[in-house]
Amino acid sequence: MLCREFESVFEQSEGTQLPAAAATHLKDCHACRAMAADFEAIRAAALELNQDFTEEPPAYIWQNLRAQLAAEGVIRQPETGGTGWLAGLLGWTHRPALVATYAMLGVFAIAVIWQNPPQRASMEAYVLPAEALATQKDLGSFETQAVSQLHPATSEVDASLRRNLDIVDKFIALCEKNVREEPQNEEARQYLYSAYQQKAELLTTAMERDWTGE
Amino acid sequence: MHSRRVYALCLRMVGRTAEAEDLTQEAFLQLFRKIATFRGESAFSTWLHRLAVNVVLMRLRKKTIAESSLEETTEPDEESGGPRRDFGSADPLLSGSVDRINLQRAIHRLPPGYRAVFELHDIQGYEHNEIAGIMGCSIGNSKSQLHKARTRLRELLHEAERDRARDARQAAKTEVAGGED
Repeated sequence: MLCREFESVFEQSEGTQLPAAAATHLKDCHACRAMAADFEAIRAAALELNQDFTEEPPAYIWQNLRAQLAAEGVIRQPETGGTGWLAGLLGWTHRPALVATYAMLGVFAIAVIWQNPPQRASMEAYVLPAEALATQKDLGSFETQAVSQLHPATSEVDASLRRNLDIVDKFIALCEKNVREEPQNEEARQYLYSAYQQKAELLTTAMERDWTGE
Repeated sequence: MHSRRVYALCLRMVGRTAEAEDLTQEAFLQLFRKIATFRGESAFSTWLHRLAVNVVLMRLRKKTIAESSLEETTEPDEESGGPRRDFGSADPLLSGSVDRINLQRAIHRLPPGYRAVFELHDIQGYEHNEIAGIMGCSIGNSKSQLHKARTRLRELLHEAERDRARDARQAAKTEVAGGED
């Protein structure tokens, strides 16, 4: 075997055992043996280079990356503005408004479970339960804030959000009517509860559109 | 783990910290933009490295002609585009272990394609089938590129050794001449 032939075989046998003819050539040829030994020395030094490298990329890379991805709308940038204790409390989430609304609705749900419908039904036959009224009021103020952040009617997404809000409002009105008429009806309460949830999600979407600058 | 490997790849490919940081950021930016296209057909690390290698190679391709021509000083032979080896000549053996600083310098003088394969295989420990996936080439091509990279590195390291020996001789002569004065 010639050195040129050996080198071709050697090149492609990387990581596997050399064929017998190539192994014989390697044993007999000083130049090819020197090449193989040098390659091994280079490889050993290269492995050490990897072990030596313990540097992490600097932290500012991740800050830039987050800002860039948020600007492109790939991720949502968490709100960093100081809105007091609530921002601090909800700082762990990317959707603080949604969490706040769900917490509010959670309190409402617990209150509904603890109330005694048969007793109250006689007194509140034609009005909503107090807890539902409180939720309705909270959602109303949340709505004022969210709708004020919607863009002019030129935005298709905002127009769609407004349309959906109208639909949910009509559904809520219907559910509230049913609950007023049958306060002891658990199914009617559930419908009202899920309608409030839908509205809270829509309002959250409206607010987040403003945060993400879309 | 991934971030360090990508950063190391970028740093050794371009040799400049600021540019390596920029490329690392770009690679992860591509990762987030394209994460939805990851189908799990290859390992995640392979996919990420493919993005990183592409980002680096794209940047290197955009470099000025002057810089490219400097990289071509690797004197590829006319037939294969790889480094030349004079068969039959008694190649000297690299003396003992390879100096890591010299190796780093030599790596920076490799053409980008060789450098990428060498970085992935000999430094980061990827197998040829993985490198073929990362580089978008055949396994045979990956082996061939690695062989050429090592051959060229060997030449550069020999050159460095010769230069060092010449400098040492020169210094000794100067010392003797100074002593005679």
